[in-house]
Amino acid sequence: MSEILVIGAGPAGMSAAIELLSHGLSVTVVDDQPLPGGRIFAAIESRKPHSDEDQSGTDLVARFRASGGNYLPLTEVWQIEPGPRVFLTREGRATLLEPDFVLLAGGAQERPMPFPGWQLPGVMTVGAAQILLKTARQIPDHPVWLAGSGPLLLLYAHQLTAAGGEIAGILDLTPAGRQAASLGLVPAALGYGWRDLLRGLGWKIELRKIRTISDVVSLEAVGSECLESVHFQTRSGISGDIDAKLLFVHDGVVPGIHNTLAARCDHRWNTQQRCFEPIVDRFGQTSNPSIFVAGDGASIAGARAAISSAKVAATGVALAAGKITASNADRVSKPLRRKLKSAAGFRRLIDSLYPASEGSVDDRTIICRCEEVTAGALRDQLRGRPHLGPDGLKSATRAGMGPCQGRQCGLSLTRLIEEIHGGAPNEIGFLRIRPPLKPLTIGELAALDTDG
Amino acid sequence: MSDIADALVIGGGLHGLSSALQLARRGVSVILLERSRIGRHSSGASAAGVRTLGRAREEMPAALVAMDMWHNMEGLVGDDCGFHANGQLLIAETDAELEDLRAKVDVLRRDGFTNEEMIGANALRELVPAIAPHVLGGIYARKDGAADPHKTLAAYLRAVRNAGVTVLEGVGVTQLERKGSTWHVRNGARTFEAPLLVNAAGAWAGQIAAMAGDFIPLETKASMMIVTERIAPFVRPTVGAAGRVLSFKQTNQGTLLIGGGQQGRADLENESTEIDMQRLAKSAAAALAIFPSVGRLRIVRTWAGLEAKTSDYVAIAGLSPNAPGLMHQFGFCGHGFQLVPVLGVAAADLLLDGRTDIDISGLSPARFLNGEPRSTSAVG
Repeated sequence: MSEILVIGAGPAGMSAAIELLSHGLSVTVVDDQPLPGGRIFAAIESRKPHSDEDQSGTDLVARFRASGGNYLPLTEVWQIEPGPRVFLTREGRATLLEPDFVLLAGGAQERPMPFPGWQLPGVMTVGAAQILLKTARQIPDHPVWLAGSGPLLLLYAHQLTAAGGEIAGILDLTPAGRQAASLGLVPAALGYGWRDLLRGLGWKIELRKIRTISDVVSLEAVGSECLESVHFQTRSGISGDIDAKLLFVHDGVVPGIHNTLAARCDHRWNTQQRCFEPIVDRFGQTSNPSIFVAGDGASIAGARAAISSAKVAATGVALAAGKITASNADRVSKPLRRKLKSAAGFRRLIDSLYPASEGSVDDRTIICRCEEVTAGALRDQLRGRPHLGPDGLKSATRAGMGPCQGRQCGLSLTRLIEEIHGGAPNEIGFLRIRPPLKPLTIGELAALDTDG
Repeated sequence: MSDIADALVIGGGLHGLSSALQLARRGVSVILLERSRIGRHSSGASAAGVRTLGRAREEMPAALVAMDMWHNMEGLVGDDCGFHANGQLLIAETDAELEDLRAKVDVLRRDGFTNEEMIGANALRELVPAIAPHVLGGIYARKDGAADPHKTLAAYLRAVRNAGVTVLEGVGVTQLERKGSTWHVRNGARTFEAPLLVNAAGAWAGQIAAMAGDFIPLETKASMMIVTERIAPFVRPTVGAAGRVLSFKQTNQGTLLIGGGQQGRADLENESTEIDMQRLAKSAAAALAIFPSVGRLRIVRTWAGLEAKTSDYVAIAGLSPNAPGLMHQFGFCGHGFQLVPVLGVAAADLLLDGRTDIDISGLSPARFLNGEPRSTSAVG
């Protein structure tokens, strides 16, 4: 029987596993977290559901738990070869799995948002703060300044306030006029997202009580040992300094592509969302016929769409594994694709309301936090060397050589090359991924069990 | 920009840069052609060992001259290239290995080479306290050391540009032709002309040689490397083991660099390499056997570079016996980094004077062009 390895136990991974099992396939789900749910439903089993969305997550986790697949939490996937051969570590032991198919459901990561001082203690991402709130009920012990743009920023403001935390204010980096410019996209978004839009409006009404500085174009975190103040400037030239101990930033999310990059799947630049994503066919199959991608790891569309996309990808795997016929696969996936199309209409509105911030990066900004390489140093190396590329830039400056594997600087390197030499991000490409994708010790590698 | 020069260098790795530098410093105009970018393959993926220890006898004379040059890199290229003469060790874990090492050093002494010396268990432990208790001793080359490959590349690129070399990245070679006393080097529709030519094209040097009519059989190496997170000072010398595939050192950044020659998968056509994790696990196991305390250290990156390997495991450096004005400089088999400064001088000497005081007779490409390669008397 075909062995399917699902990587990730968020909405996409759990839904894919349930669907694959229903086709009688042998399924193993690995995930780096202790509990199923992914980022959005982190620790959902131990939380009281606050919304319909939470309730749907609780239900999905319960169905996943009952589905009978082999679920391995706290498991780090540190290399994926095209084979597919998947190397992972669990309980300190490294092993190699050689499944027939891999379904990647690794989700999104926050878009890195570099500005001077972003590395200071006291500055963190909204996503990380939200995980702390969800999993450890951690409420910041000082009033929080939020900066950036995007729905997650609003959601977190709502969640933190509801949990008893205090928002000091919001530095809104969303360019002015986005709402008016996006009106035309509203009709196509309503079918899928009217509930989400209502929720979002609710948050916005709540936030009217909170001090908001709009149309901010540049940001600087100031402090010697940790954050002491935030300096900002608006498009109209107003600038100011705010005393702050905590600044949480957010600039939307992008697909987490390290797994598909490691597996050498083909990728392309998404001009609308300003990010790379794996190229997949209508069943989520990548350029490698044994590797499928579902959810936000394929393209950013949110948790509900991720569930539909996972069911489609699972259907694709069942088809490739010979479990169903092509006509059955089409019949099953047709209504799901209709949902995905409708979700895409909603996403276009969100992308238009909250475009990725494209302001110029100050030369003093540290781009690679692992190796502390500034934008100025990167620009110096790039001038006069159009053939350097992301990997040459890495070699020349050490940017991207650190333990985060370029997750924090990769997109910025592509963007700086685009800025200095022009050319399409598709041509510039992304850093070459050098395994391990996740932490791996010498001892674990030395004891690699290769009989698996 | 004129595409006519006194000398053309094919290949923007460290050897191409070194030859370009020395030629330019002798007053000739040089254009360096690099298909991709400077240091794209072996040079950028190097472990940057500066080692005479265990050198093949054919490479020894040049390696000893190179060693003196490494001790004065500041004077040569205006930067120390991250070189530190922290020594290199080759350790023995069994009595048989120890005897074998002793015999090798005896032979070297007999022939007048003093770069290697035996080191006993106590002195070894003083030098490298973290070494495993079962290690019995070994060979120590105290003037050896290691450098930083990226600093070295940056320093050479700077020096080459300051010397007036035209460095062209993104310019590959599609055809070579000798017309009269001039080499015509084509990159698509563009033609570069010069009477003198250096072939330092690394893993692809065999293809360039073949374009000039020299058919030199080469294999490809893709030696893998592991680098760990940064730690406090742990080990100064570079440590190898007689009975294992291992090279172990701490870099100037504080990371541990583990290599030694376990091979990844080479893809010459796509100019890329793949890590073979199961083989790389052997490198990690070898490191753990010699340094038991490194087991909990996190691996940050692994990689492999591409380069050419000769059948006798000795480098190729010398004038083509068939094609006039052509210097071959490749086939370093994973130990070419140390030879970078010296072979640039040899290349300039040979191309401009027809002779050099540096003894590279054992590296001549002629050994592959006139019948079978002769047997090697490699030591180590």
